[in-house]
Amino acid sequence: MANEHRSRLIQEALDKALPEDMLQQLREQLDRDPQGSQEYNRLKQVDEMLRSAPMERAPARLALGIMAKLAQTLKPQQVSSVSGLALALALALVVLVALPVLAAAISLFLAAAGSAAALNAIIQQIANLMALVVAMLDALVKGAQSVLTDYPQAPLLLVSVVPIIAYWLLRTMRDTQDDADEKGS
Amino acid sequence: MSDPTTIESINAALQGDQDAFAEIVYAFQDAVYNLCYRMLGERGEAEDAAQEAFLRAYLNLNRYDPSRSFKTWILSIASNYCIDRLRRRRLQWMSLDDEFTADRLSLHSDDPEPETATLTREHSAAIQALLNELSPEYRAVVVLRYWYDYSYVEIADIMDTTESAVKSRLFRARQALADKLGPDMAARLGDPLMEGT
Repeated sequence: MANEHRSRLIQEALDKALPEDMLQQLREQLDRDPQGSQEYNRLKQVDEMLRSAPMERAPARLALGIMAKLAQTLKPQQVSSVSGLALALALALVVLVALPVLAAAISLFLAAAGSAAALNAIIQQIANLMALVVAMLDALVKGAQSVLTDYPQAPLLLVSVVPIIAYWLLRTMRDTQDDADEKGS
Repeated sequence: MSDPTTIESINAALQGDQDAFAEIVYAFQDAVYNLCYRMLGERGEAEDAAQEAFLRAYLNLNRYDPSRSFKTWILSIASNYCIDRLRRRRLQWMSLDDEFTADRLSLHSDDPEPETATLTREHSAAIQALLNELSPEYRAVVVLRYWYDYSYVEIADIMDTTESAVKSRLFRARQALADKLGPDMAARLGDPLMEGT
């Protein structure tokens, strides 16, 4: 226990954390105690060895490496934050469009549930709407048939134009991607 | 508390200015690298650890308290990272002789005074070999005390522990180093050591 206490005093003396009066006491104690004096010398050796240790300087490439790693780490984050933003905007748009339709549907359903006449009116409206769509499709088909009768070569022209349009679309998409990559880098 | 230039750079870096962060890196890279080297004992690993410490600092910059020293904060990140890394590492310590050889071989050719540099490196490597014998927590305390001259309180703050734990670790670390430091090693470490005896 006494040795433990002496060791602690020695350590604090080495750290210059011992008050002057206690330091003096320690010196007197070590003068009378060869074992303690030997321990003091051993620890002082270690202390001086560590104090003489040089500071290692960072290699010149370290800062560049750090900044490169930082850029590399931040890039996916920026991209993902942009795509996250786009997703959030798209969702907001969908909700904005869907919400009035949903609200109208709910309101119609509630009204219809309370009255048979209203339900009948809604079914009639839907049937009218569908009849209108069918009539439009019918007109479109009849128009196409008359074009085919007047110009028999039209379908061939259309088929030959499809690959050209597809090629043009692909090229435009690739150019847009390249522009985006250049801006990103 | 950090100096106004550092605070200014930190604020700019917080706004996304990477050049400002580069200034911080240049200012503190030696301190961080030295800590990592003294903790990990290998230059390549120290470089990786220093990079990781700066990266973590950047990503957590909004959590930095400007009333604290930035150097203390970043050294705290680096020391915690190195301690974790040492814990994870399945240790196969290099022998002292291997350490000397490795350090001699890695001497840069553009050093101005090759002989002086070699002696300094040998001295540094010998101390490093001794440090490598310590546990990560003891090593961190010794490094922060001797290379950065931090007080017990500051070390306790960096390592998120108590002042008495720091004193105790330092005490045991010095005892362990004294046990390892035989007369041969003392002679190898040269005059600075012998003068003190």
